[in-house]
Amino acid sequence: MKIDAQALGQYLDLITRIAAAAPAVIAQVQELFGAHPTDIPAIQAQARADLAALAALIPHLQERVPE
Amino acid sequence: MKFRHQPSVVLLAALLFVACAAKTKPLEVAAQATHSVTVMLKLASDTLDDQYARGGIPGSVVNEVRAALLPVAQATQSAVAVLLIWTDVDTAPPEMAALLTALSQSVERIAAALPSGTPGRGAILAHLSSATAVVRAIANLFVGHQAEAIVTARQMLAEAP
Repeated sequence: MKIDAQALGQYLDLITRIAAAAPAVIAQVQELFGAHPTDIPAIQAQARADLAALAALIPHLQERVPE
Repeated sequence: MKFRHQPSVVLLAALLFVACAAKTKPLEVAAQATHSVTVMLKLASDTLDDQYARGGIPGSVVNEVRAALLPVAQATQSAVAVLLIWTDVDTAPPEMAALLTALSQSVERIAAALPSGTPGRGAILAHLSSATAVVRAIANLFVGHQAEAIVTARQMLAEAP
């Protein structure tokens, strides 16, 4: 197989550019969108607290007062 | 922001844009929305009970308002319960849309049940309107981010040499 040295050089240059640009791109995207890993345990803790509050509220809303 | 317009880098950036936009913590914002609704519902219920205890709202109206609040509380409960087991962090569960519908209907029903000038009417409607606004704003925000990411990705791809 014959390898084109110039094409190989361009390919390596492209790989280097992508590798160099990727962290910067990721950082910019994260900055723009405020993206970070979803905090599942915190979500679940709050959701359980809300469920407890709703479990107390729903029977109260089902109660009827004298009309 | 300036990106290198090397086609592969632009494509990488565009893909990252879309991927990150789709994972802009929808689960977190959905959980925050249901939490806000839970708090607002409790405030509305407490205001109703307080005015009833003061004799400002007749029992028949209290029962009607409670009946209007109940579907919202149940829709919120469903949404929260689903959030606990929701594994698709890329999208909000459909129960969020059902919650928004329940909130809108509840506001209309309570506005009709409580005549103008009824003590606590403004506070109760304000709590529910805030809850509705929170859910709607978060839904719009999420949709807006997705659209924004796609537009940006297309622009970047269009600028690629």
